[in-house]
Amino acid sequence: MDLAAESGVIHETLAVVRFCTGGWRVGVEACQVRSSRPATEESPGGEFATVLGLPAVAASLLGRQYLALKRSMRDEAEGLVEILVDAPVELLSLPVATIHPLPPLLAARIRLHGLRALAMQAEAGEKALTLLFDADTF
Amino acid sequence: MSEATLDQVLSQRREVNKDIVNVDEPAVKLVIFALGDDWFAFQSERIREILAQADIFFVPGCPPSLEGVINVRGDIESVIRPHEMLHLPDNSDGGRASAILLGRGGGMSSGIRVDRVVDVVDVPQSSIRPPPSTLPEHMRVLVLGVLRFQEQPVAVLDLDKMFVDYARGLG
Repeated sequence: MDLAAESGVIHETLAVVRFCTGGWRVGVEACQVRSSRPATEESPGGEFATVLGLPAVAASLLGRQYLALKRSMRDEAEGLVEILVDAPVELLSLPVATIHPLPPLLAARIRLHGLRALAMQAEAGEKALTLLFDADTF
Repeated sequence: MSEATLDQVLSQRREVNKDIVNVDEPAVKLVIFALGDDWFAFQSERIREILAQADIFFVPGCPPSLEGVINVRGDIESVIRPHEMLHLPDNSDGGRASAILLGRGGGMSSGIRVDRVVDVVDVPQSSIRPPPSTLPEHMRVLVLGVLRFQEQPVAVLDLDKMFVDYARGLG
């Protein structure tokens, strides 16, 4: 059920934690991110690019972050997962008008796990694409 | 030389008009385009727009035949390259003549990269012949008919079928 539609509330922005992975600009709904911390050698979490099915880009841990993602569809044991991402990690309010569902042919053919939407924003005078993922589906 | 009366003139005109036969017949508007040396067409009712220039945003994890996405006045559309579906070599370099046709079919919409738009024309419906039996199997399922335009054979493609097949993994 779409609660927003039911209650007549129109949302204008979506809170997103945006970061980079494999050279791509990527976002996850902020409500799915529990915490972030600097990456250390001992951290057990996996490279986010690899989780998505993107080729991993070898990089040192310097300046990288671990994000703890909450996955509501999983049981308690599997519900929290740590992923390794590249800086900058930032909390943004994306205007709803900039967020688009996947075009149907792209949705049918894409091999990335969990890609739900695309955000197209103007930044520094240029349009930039952010891939929006759902932590529950990858 | 005798002067004609108005009656004679009007009668004469009616005789001339008798010879004019109304040859209006159903016409089809086609968007004709080139992929390499081959010419194809879509029915224009399936093409919303022809874009000469557009910034393409590559999306990882897509097959090579899916070039990326474009922003069309605030909407995001995919752009596919139909060469592989049609078993044609894809040598185009996205040069100045290339264009993106924004098409709608099979309940979906997408951009289609073509090497060159040849023309947008009205042709008599009768000039479109059924696909010949010599057409290769992979083409037969996508071709609605064939015609000749500027001495070139043109295959009219079924955009509904193309999009549905593409979504199923063809191409």
